Amino acid sequence: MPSRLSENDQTSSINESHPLLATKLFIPPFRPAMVSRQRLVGKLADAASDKSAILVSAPAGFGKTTLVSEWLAGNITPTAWLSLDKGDNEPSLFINYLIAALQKIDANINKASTSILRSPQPPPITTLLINLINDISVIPVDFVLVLDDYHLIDNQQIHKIIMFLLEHQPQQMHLVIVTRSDPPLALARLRSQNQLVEIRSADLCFTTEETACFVNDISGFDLAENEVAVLESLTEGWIAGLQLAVLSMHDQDNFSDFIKSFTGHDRYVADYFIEVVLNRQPEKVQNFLLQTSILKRLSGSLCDAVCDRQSSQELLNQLEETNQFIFPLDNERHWFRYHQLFADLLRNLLNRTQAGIIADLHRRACDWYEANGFMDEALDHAFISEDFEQAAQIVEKRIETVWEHGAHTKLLNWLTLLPEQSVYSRPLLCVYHAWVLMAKGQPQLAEENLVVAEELLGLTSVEKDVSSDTGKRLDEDSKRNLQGKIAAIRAIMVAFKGDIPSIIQRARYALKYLPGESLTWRSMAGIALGDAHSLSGDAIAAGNAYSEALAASQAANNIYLIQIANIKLAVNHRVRGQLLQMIDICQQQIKLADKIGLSQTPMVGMAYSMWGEVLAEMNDPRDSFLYVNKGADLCEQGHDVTMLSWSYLCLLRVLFIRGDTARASKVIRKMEKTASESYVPPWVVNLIEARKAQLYLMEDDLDAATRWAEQRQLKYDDEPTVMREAEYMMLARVLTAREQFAEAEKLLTRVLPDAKTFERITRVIEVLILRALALQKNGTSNEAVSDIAEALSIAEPHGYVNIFVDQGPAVANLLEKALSAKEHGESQKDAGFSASYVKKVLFCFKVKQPPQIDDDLMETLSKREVEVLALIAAGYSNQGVADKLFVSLNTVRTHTKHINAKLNVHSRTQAVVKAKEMGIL
Amino acid sequence: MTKSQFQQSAQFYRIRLKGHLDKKWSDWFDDMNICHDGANSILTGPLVDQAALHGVLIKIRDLNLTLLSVKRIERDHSSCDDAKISHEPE
Repeated sequence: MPSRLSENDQTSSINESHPLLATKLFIPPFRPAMVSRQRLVGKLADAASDKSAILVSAPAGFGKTTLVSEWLAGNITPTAWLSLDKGDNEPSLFINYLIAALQKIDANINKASTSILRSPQPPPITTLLINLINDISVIPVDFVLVLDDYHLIDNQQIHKIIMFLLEHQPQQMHLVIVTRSDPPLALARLRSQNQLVEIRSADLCFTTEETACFVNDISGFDLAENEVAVLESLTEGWIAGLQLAVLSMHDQDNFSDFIKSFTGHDRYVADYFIEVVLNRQPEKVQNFLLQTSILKRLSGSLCDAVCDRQSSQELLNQLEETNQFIFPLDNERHWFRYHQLFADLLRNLLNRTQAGIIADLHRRACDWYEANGFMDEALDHAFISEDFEQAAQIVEKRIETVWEHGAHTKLLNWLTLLPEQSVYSRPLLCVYHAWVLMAKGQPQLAEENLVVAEELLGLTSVEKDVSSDTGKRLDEDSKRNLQGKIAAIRAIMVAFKGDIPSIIQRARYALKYLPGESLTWRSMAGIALGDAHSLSGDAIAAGNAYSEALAASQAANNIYLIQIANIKLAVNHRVRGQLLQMIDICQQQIKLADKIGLSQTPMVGMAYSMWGEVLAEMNDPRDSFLYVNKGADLCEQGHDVTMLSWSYLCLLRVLFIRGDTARASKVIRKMEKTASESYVPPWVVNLIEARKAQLYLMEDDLDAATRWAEQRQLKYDDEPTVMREAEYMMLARVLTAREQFAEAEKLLTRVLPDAKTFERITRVIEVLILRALALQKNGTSNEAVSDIAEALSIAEPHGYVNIFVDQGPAVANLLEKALSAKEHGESQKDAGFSASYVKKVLFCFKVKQPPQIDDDLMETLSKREVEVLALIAAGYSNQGVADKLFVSLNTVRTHTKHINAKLNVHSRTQAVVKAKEMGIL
Repeated sequence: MTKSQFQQSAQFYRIRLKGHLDKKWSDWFDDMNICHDGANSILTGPLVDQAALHGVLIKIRDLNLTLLSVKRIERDHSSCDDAKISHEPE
């Protein structure tokens, strides 16, 4: 299997993040030649039919896995199995494996959401979990999900994922956790709710009958009752101990000798028997067992390489037939593993008897894994044998891929295991180290790594030392590539600080040096560049940067970055007045998310919100209200406060157009609360402030608006920055309302040229309308009409409508004047707009009506129906609502049918919107 | 970590297990000293930090050994003889 080294491989799949994935998902077969444990199988079956979760918790060698596989063998319920190991302590990988396991039940589950995890900036896990649970809840059949060896998980986030699954467990799913020690989950809560069935060591211990069955029926001895009792007391029902004991008995005639040899001392039974078992094997087999005990998984070819021998495959097959301690990991008997306890015992013996060769064994295992493309496994062995040179080389080859998968924990773990000198002598490792440190919020340490990388590349004036050799060793292309990456990381780091000129400089530098095939990096640098241009007000340059970033992320097939670039580009189109293009992008975003099975995320919410807001601008009130509400709902489910605030801003615009100041004021309070509790970027806070002022003006509270402007320290002779422009628009309105017309005019005139030069079309139109109002009221009517005419001529081709209506009835008056001037041929700029367009806008002033509220409806919805509706609004699936209210799925469906009929809507989403509109929710 | 750093930060522990564990298991348990007291085994020695202690406890679990007690001790009392004669409740 070839290893994957290139950073822009398009055919990435989950298999590549774990080439042995199939062995992790393999359900261990139940062999009929085992003791059947019907009493426990019955308990498992009952638990499953009660829809309780199952915890099988006992130390090694109590037959946990065997029990679960016996139950599954006699059970027709489809099963997803995931055998965990230490390397799975990475939330994004864990979710990947979980989805891969569930796809065995239903191939359509989260069709491509694994691809969204494949990102250096993965989305919040809860987003994926909500989608996953929604997907599971529509699976038409019951199924079992087994997580084996859960004790190997020590990552808190993964425990949270499992707790989330337990709490939101869809009815179809029966979760089974198999572990050596109790997981740190809220087990007490589950117990008290009767949602957990436990099988523990006391249950799993062999009874006298089971011991007899194992010794006599299965192992072919014919021991008397008292002899069985001796064995039982010796092993205390511990199955692995009994198995070892039986394997170490020559024949039963010597049973009493055998017992004698053991009694009289209190030796740890396993330790004693393993030596006897091993001594009974030919020397070649002994060596094979000892030397292969260092391997987590065994294949014929791997064992040949590690033990320097041939035909290991035959020996493995033979061991499986005769020995109880080796298990197949696939149907082809290609991969096996030892029982972990057995491997531990053997490894301890190896330590004692052949300690000198252990490093060699690991080295050979490492070489075999590397040659066969199993890089993570190769690394494990390189680290154990402390062959750091080889480890560092493998990490260098793997780091790009692992980074692209967002496996930061793993990456950091590798870099920590390597000696400092190994990392600080390799610029590539320093660069990725810097990325991870930056992502962890340690920019200073990140910067230190970047400086080291630059020194190694010979990019600084530091005196030549060892480092310059490294610089020479790299070819020019690799050097430029790394320079580009260093600049990209710096651009993203300064973006946190909002230092616009530095972002632009570094991002440009990054894009200049990053090679065309570094698509993911180019996309991120492009987005940083676009953001910097947006904040500085250059909408044209921002649009270009975002478009390039979008193209790069599409070429990289990086779903996460495509969605981010889409959102940024949509905002950019809105600023530049490209309203139809913006709708197009929002629709693409929604379609893309649907295709990959992730339709319930804030990214999709943003698309709905922006689509709804622009429809409101173009005066399509019906759909716009539906979409902004849906968008806000989706963003509320996520954790991204910037996206949430943005969706509220869209909602507010629509509420303002509808004249619903009561709800608008509630939304503003929510936004302020969010901004006080979490970090919301200052430019978003400024937008929230501007909407607050708009609300005061709508409520004719001029005093409050004036106080607001003072508090915000806005003055008419300031030089408004782009980041605060929206606030200055409000100041202009306040000034006009306070009859300070000249000041308003001056302020607006100052904003106009910059907005025109950099194509901030929406702002240009707004400024022209506001200036027309100030001029009109100041008695300079001709100039006012000229401004309005210019605003109309710019607005018409793009389809703006409500931007005029927003500014109040005085604008209607101006529009009529402009229309009449045009019709009488008086206007200088008559070619700019059509009479029909002005009439259309004027019509919108007339039809603007307050929302209709049907008070009767509130009473017709029953209390239960309101409860159901509230849960739906909170994002629960029908199944989720049923679980919450302790009713059946059918009952919930009946409720929703009634709700839809009463509200005269056709879907759950519409029902929620309507209910919110009517103030029921 | 250098040897002297290890000596500075290490704490001594005494871990009591049921059954006789062969002394040859010592290096499996971070080189803790293994001795026997009646039917039990006692692991004594320095462990660098809590993570190392938990590592030892996990190994005990993984071998299905029965854990009777864990106690942090002064290094003066770290020899096995002390463990045998002292019958303090643990």
